[in-house]
Amino acid sequence: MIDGGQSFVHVYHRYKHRVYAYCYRLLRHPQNAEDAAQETFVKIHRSLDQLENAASLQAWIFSIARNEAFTILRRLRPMEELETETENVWDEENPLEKVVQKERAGIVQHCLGLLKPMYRELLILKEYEQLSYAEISQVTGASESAVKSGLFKARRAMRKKLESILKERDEI
Amino acid sequence: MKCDEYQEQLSALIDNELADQESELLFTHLSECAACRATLRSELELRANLKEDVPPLAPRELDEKVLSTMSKAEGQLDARRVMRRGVWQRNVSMRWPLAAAIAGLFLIGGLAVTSVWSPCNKPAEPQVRIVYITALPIVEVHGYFP
Ligand SMILES: [Zn+2]
Repeated sequence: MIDGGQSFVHVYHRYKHRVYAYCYRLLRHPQNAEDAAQETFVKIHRSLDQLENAASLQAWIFSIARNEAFTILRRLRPMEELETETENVWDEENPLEKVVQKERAGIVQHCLGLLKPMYRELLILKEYEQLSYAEISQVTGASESAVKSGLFKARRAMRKKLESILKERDEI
Repeated sequence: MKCDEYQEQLSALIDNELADQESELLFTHLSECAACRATLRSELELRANLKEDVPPLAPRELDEKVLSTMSKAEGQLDARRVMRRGVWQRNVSMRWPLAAAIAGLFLIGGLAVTSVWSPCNKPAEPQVRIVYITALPIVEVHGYFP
Protein backbone atom coordinates (compact mmCIF):
# COMPACT_ATOMS: atom_id res chain seq x y z
CA MET A 1 0.00 0.00 0.00
CA ILE A 2 1.11 3.49 -0.53
CA ASP A 3 1.72 5.77 2.42
CA GLY A 4 1.58 9.52 2.47
CA GLY A 5 5.31 9.90 1.93
CA GLN A 6 5.47 7.84 -1.24
CA SER A 7 5.51 9.92 -4.36
CA PHE A 8 4.57 9.25 -7.93
CA VAL A 9 8.25 9.21 -8.89
CA HIS A 10 8.85 6.43 -6.39
CA VAL A 11 5.95 4.39 -7.81
CA TYR A 12 7.18 5.06 -11.32
CA HIS A 13 10.68 3.80 -10.67
CA ARG A 14 9.39 0.82 -8.75
CA TYR A 15 6.98 -0.31 -11.44
CA LYS A 16 8.30 1.01 -14.76
CA HIS A 17 10.08 -2.20 -15.78
CA ARG A 18 7.21 -4.45 -14.77
CA VAL A 19 4.61 -2.32 -16.52
CA TYR A 20 6.75 -2.10 -19.65
CA ALA A 21 7.46 -5.85 -19.64
CA TYR A 22 3.77 -6.62 -19.21
CA CYS A 23 2.84 -4.33 -22.12
CA TYR A 24 5.68 -5.68 -24.23
CA ARG A 25 4.77 -9.30 -23.65
CA LEU A 26 1.15 -8.60 -24.37
CA LEU A 27 1.62 -6.38 -27.44
CA ARG A 28 4.85 -7.96 -28.76
CA HIS A 29 5.94 -4.60 -30.15
CA PRO A 30 8.48 -2.27 -28.45
CA GLN A 31 7.01 1.05 -29.57
CA ASN A 32 3.44 0.05 -28.76
CA ALA A 33 4.61 -1.23 -25.39
CA GLU A 34 6.38 2.04 -24.68
CA ASP A 35 3.29 4.04 -25.66
CA ALA A 36 1.06 1.89 -23.46
CA ALA A 37 3.47 2.16 -20.53
CA GLN A 38 3.76 5.92 -20.92
CA GLU A 39 -0.01 6.35 -21.02
CA THR A 40 -0.31 4.05 -17.99
CA PHE A 41 1.90 6.29 -15.89
CA VAL A 42 0.17 9.44 -17.07
CA LYS A 43 -3.10 7.92 -15.84
CA ILE A 44 -1.49 6.79 -12.58
CA HIS A 45 -0.19 10.29 -12.03
CA ARG A 46 -3.64 11.74 -12.58
CA SER A 47 -5.21 9.34 -10.10
CA LEU A 48 -2.71 9.44 -7.25
CA ASP A 49 -5.54 9.86 -4.78
CA GLN A 50 -7.15 6.60 -5.82
CA LEU A 51 -3.75 4.97 -5.59
CA GLU A 52 -3.68 5.60 -1.88
CA ASN A 53 -6.95 3.74 -1.41
CA ALA A 54 -6.34 0.82 -3.75
CA ALA A 55 -6.78 -2.59 -2.14
CA SER A 56 -3.86 -3.97 -4.12
CA LEU A 57 -1.42 -1.45 -5.50
CA GLN A 58 0.00 -3.77 -8.14
CA ALA A 59 -3.43 -4.95 -9.28
CA TRP A 60 -4.50 -1.32 -9.61
CA ILE A 61 -1.41 -0.45 -11.62
CA PHE A 62 -1.77 -3.47 -13.91
CA SER A 63 -5.45 -2.80 -14.46
CA ILE A 64 -4.51 0.63 -15.83
CA ALA A 65 -1.72 -0.88 -17.95
CA ARG A 66 -4.17 -3.47 -19.24
CA ASN A 67 -6.64 -0.82 -20.36
CA GLU A 68 -3.91 0.98 -22.25
CA ALA A 69 -2.57 -2.19 -23.87
CA PHE A 70 -6.05 -3.35 -24.89
CA THR A 71 -6.85 0.10 -26.28
CA ILE A 72 -3.89 -0.36 -28.61
CA LEU A 73 -4.92 -3.93 -29.44
CA ARG A 74 -8.44 -2.81 -30.27
CA ARG A 75 -7.07 -0.13 -32.52
CA LEU A 76 -4.89 -2.68 -34.31
CA ARG A 77 -7.61 -5.31 -34.54
CA PRO A 78 -10.92 -3.46 -34.64
CA MET A 79 -12.91 -6.42 -35.95
CA GLU A 80 -11.83 -8.86 -33.29
CA GLU A 81 -13.60 -9.88 -30.11
CA LEU A 82 -10.61 -9.60 -27.82
CA GLU A 83 -12.17 -10.47 -24.51
CA THR A 84 -14.72 -13.15 -25.28
CA GLU A 85 -13.85 -16.59 -23.98
CA THR A 86 -13.47 -19.04 -26.83
CA GLU A 87 -12.75 -22.71 -27.24
CA ASN A 88 -9.82 -21.99 -29.51
CA VAL A 89 -7.14 -20.20 -27.53
CA TRP A 90 -4.81 -19.64 -30.51
CA ASP A 91 -4.37 -16.34 -32.24
CA GLU A 92 -2.81 -17.84 -35.35
CA GLU A 93 -2.14 -21.36 -36.42
CA ASN A 94 0.91 -23.25 -37.59
CA PRO A 95 3.94 -21.78 -35.86
CA LEU A 96 5.97 -24.83 -36.88
CA GLU A 97 7.83 -23.32 -39.77
CA LYS A 98 9.47 -20.51 -37.84
CA VAL A 99 10.41 -22.32 -34.65
CA VAL A 100 12.19 -25.42 -35.90
CA GLN A 101 15.66 -24.22 -34.98
CA LYS A 102 14.92 -22.70 -31.62
CA GLU A 103 15.59 -23.90 -28.09
CA ARG A 104 12.73 -25.18 -26.00
CA ALA A 105 12.36 -21.93 -24.04
CA GLY A 106 12.34 -20.04 -27.35
CA ILE A 107 9.56 -22.26 -28.66
CA VAL A 108 7.60 -21.65 -25.48
CA GLN A 109 7.90 -17.90 -26.00
CA HIS A 110 6.83 -18.29 -29.60
CA CYS A 111 3.76 -20.27 -28.50
CA LEU A 112 2.97 -17.68 -25.86
CA GLY A 113 2.92 -15.05 -28.59
CA LEU A 114 0.45 -17.13 -30.55
CA LEU A 115 -2.12 -17.34 -27.79
CA LYS A 116 -5.10 -15.04 -28.05
CA PRO A 117 -4.35 -11.88 -26.06
CA MET A 118 -6.78 -12.70 -23.25
CA TYR A 119 -5.13 -16.10 -22.62
CA ARG A 120 -1.64 -14.76 -23.12
CA GLU A 121 -2.41 -12.07 -20.61
CA LEU A 122 -3.45 -14.58 -17.96
CA LEU A 123 -0.15 -16.42 -18.26
CA ILE A 124 1.84 -13.17 -18.20
CA LEU A 125 0.09 -11.92 -15.07
CA LYS A 126 0.49 -15.27 -13.33
CA GLU A 127 3.90 -16.52 -14.43
CA TYR A 128 5.80 -13.27 -14.74
CA GLU A 129 4.00 -10.80 -12.53
CA GLN A 130 2.99 -13.44 -9.98
CA LEU A 131 -0.39 -11.95 -9.24
CA SER A 132 -2.91 -13.98 -7.27
CA TYR A 133 -6.16 -15.09 -8.91
CA ALA A 134 -7.95 -12.39 -6.93
CA GLU A 135 -5.57 -9.76 -8.29
CA ILE A 136 -5.80 -11.08 -11.85
CA SER A 137 -9.56 -10.94 -11.51
CA GLN A 138 -9.23 -7.32 -10.38
CA VAL A 139 -7.00 -6.51 -13.35
CA THR A 140 -9.00 -8.27 -16.06
CA GLY A 141 -12.51 -7.94 -14.71
CA ALA A 142 -13.02 -11.70 -15.12
CA SER A 143 -14.25 -13.78 -12.18
CA GLU A 144 -11.71 -15.78 -10.19
CA SER A 145 -13.17 -19.03 -11.52
CA ALA A 146 -12.81 -17.71 -15.07
CA VAL A 147 -9.19 -16.85 -14.28
CA LYS A 148 -8.65 -20.36 -12.96
CA SER A 149 -10.20 -22.09 -15.97
CA GLY A 150 -8.59 -19.65 -18.42
CA LEU A 151 -5.16 -20.40 -17.02
CA PHE A 152 -5.85 -24.11 -17.23
CA LYS A 153 -6.93 -23.83 -20.87
CA ALA A 154 -3.96 -21.66 -21.80
CA ARG A 155 -1.50 -24.03 -20.14
CA ARG A 156 -3.07 -27.14 -21.57
CA ALA A 157 -2.97 -25.63 -25.06
CA MET A 158 0.63 -24.54 -24.56
CA ARG A 159 1.67 -28.00 -23.36
CA LYS A 160 0.00 -29.69 -26.31
CA LYS A 161 1.38 -27.26 -28.84
CA LEU A 162 4.84 -27.56 -27.35
CA GLU A 163 4.65 -31.33 -27.46
CA SER A 164 3.63 -31.37 -31.10
CA ILE A 165 6.27 -28.81 -32.13
CA LEU A 166 9.01 -30.73 -30.34
CA LYS A 167 7.83 -33.95 -31.94
CA GLU A 168 7.84 -32.34 -35.40
CA ARG A 169 11.27 -30.88 -34.77
CA ASP A 170 12.73 -34.19 -33.69
CA GLU A 171 11.33 -35.86 -36.78
CA ILE A 172 12.96 -33.34 -39.09
CA MET B 1 -14.13 -36.66 -10.70
CA LYS B 2 -12.53 -37.08 -14.14
CA CYS B 3 -8.84 -36.61 -14.93
CA ASP B 4 -9.69 -33.46 -16.87
CA GLU B 5 -11.14 -31.87 -13.74
CA TYR B 6 -8.15 -32.95 -11.67
CA GLN B 7 -5.90 -31.41 -14.28
CA GLU B 8 -7.66 -28.08 -13.96
CA GLN B 9 -6.96 -28.37 -10.25
CA LEU B 10 -3.31 -29.12 -10.98
CA SER B 11 -3.05 -25.77 -12.67
CA ALA B 12 -4.48 -24.11 -9.55
CA LEU B 13 -2.24 -26.24 -7.34
CA ILE B 14 0.96 -24.96 -8.93
CA ASP B 15 -0.42 -21.43 -8.52
CA ASN B 16 -0.93 -22.10 -4.83
CA GLU B 17 -4.63 -21.36 -5.24
CA LEU B 18 -6.14 -24.68 -4.24
CA ALA B 19 -7.98 -25.14 -0.94
CA ASP B 20 -6.50 -27.67 1.50
CA GLN B 21 -9.34 -30.12 1.10
CA GLU B 22 -9.14 -30.03 -2.70
CA SER B 23 -5.37 -30.44 -2.51
CA GLU B 24 -5.74 -33.54 -0.38
CA LEU B 25 -8.13 -35.14 -2.86
CA LEU B 26 -5.87 -34.17 -5.73
CA PHE B 27 -2.81 -35.69 -4.07
CA THR B 28 -4.72 -38.89 -3.44
CA HIS B 29 -5.64 -38.99 -7.12
CA LEU B 30 -2.07 -38.23 -8.17
CA SER B 31 -0.82 -41.17 -6.15
CA GLU B 32 -3.07 -43.39 -8.24
CA CYS B 33 -2.96 -41.80 -11.71
CA ALA B 34 0.16 -41.81 -13.86
CA ALA B 35 -1.45 -39.60 -16.54
CA CYS B 36 -2.12 -36.78 -14.07
CA ARG B 37 1.38 -37.16 -12.62
CA ALA B 38 2.77 -36.73 -16.13
CA THR B 39 0.59 -33.64 -16.57
CA LEU B 40 1.92 -32.18 -13.33
CA ARG B 41 5.50 -32.74 -14.53
CA SER B 42 4.71 -31.14 -17.84
CA GLU B 43 3.01 -28.15 -16.14
CA LEU B 44 6.08 -27.58 -14.01
CA GLU B 45 8.33 -27.91 -17.02
CA LEU B 46 6.26 -25.35 -18.92
CA ARG B 47 6.53 -23.00 -15.99
CA ALA B 48 10.31 -23.43 -15.87
CA ASN B 49 10.56 -22.75 -19.62
CA LEU B 50 8.43 -19.63 -19.32
CA LYS B 51 10.57 -18.38 -16.46
CA GLU B 52 13.70 -18.62 -18.61
CA ASP B 53 12.57 -15.55 -20.49
CA VAL B 54 14.46 -12.45 -19.39
CA PRO B 55 12.01 -9.58 -18.88
CA PRO B 56 12.50 -6.67 -21.26
CA LEU B 57 13.56 -3.48 -19.47
CA ALA B 58 11.74 -0.20 -19.92
CA PRO B 59 13.70 1.97 -22.37
CA ARG B 60 15.36 5.12 -21.05
CA GLU B 61 13.15 7.23 -23.29
CA LEU B 62 10.23 6.24 -21.10
CA ASP B 63 11.85 8.04 -18.14
CA GLU B 64 12.13 11.20 -20.19
CA LYS B 65 8.63 11.00 -21.60
CA VAL B 66 6.90 10.20 -18.32
CA LEU B 67 8.89 12.36 -15.98
CA SER B 68 8.86 15.39 -18.29
CA THR B 69 5.09 15.12 -18.71
CA MET B 70 4.87 14.97 -14.94
CA SER B 71 6.95 18.09 -14.47
CA LYS B 72 4.22 20.06 -16.25
CA ALA B 73 1.91 19.22 -13.40
CA GLU B 74 4.70 19.89 -10.94
CA GLY B 75 3.02 22.86 -9.28
CA GLN B 76 0.20 20.60 -8.18
CA LEU B 77 2.61 17.96 -6.95
CA ASP B 78 4.69 20.48 -5.02
CA ALA B 79 1.61 21.55 -3.12
CA ARG B 80 0.91 17.95 -2.11
CA ARG B 81 4.49 17.36 -1.07
CA VAL B 82 4.56 20.48 1.09
CA MET B 83 1.49 19.14 2.87
CA ARG B 84 3.29 15.89 3.52
CA ARG B 85 6.49 17.40 4.85
CA GLY B 86 7.24 17.80 8.52
CA VAL B 87 6.55 21.14 10.18
CA TRP B 88 10.21 21.96 10.74
CA GLN B 89 10.96 21.37 7.09
CA ARG B 90 8.09 23.57 6.00
CA ASN B 91 9.16 26.36 8.32
CA VAL B 92 12.71 26.47 7.04
CA SER B 93 12.02 25.74 3.39
CA MET B 94 13.38 28.14 0.81
CA ARG B 95 13.97 28.37 -2.93
CA TRP B 96 16.98 26.90 -4.67
CA PRO B 97 18.84 30.14 -5.45
CA LEU B 98 18.67 31.19 -1.81
CA ALA B 99 19.83 27.79 -0.60
CA ALA B 100 22.67 27.84 -3.12
CA ALA B 101 23.67 31.34 -2.02
CA ILE B 102 23.80 30.26 1.63
CA ALA B 103 25.79 27.17 0.70
CA GLY B 104 28.14 29.40 -1.27
CA LEU B 105 28.58 31.67 1.76
CA PHE B 106 29.45 28.66 3.90
CA LEU B 107 31.94 27.58 1.31
CA ILE B 108 33.55 31.01 0.99
CA GLY B 109 33.46 31.40 4.76
CA GLY B 110 35.13 28.03 5.09
CA LEU B 111 37.81 28.97 2.61
CA ALA B 112 38.46 32.24 4.43
CA VAL B 113 38.67 30.47 7.78
CA THR B 114 41.01 27.81 6.48
CA SER B 115 43.25 30.32 4.69
CA VAL B 116 43.51 32.40 7.91
CA TRP B 117 44.13 29.46 10.19
CA SER B 118 46.15 27.07 8.10
CA PRO B 119 49.88 27.30 8.76
CA CYS B 120 52.34 28.24 5.97
CA ASN B 121 49.46 29.40 3.69
CA LYS B 122 49.37 25.99 2.03
CA PRO B 123 46.12 25.13 0.25
CA ALA B 124 44.38 23.16 2.96
CA GLU B 125 42.30 20.82 0.91
CA PRO B 126 41.02 18.50 3.63
CA GLN B 127 39.63 21.40 5.66
CA VAL B 128 37.94 22.94 2.65
CA ARG B 129 36.37 19.59 1.96
CA ILE B 130 35.06 19.37 5.50
CA VAL B 131 33.40 22.78 5.20
CA TYR B 132 31.92 21.77 1.85
CA ILE B 133 30.44 18.61 3.26
CA THR B 134 29.00 20.53 6.18
CA ALA B 135 27.35 22.93 3.79
CA LEU B 136 25.93 20.23 1.54
CA PRO B 137 23.06 19.02 3.71
CA ILE B 138 21.70 22.55 3.80
CA VAL B 139 21.47 22.56 0.03
CA GLU B 140 19.91 19.12 0.06
CA VAL B 141 17.33 19.87 2.70
CA HIS B 142 16.17 23.14 1.25
CA GLY B 143 16.59 22.29 -2.38
CA TYR B 144 15.00 18.87 -2.06
CA PHE B 145 11.89 19.70 -4.06
CA PRO B 146 13.08 21.40 -7.21
ZN1 LIG C 1 -5.84 -38.58 -13.48
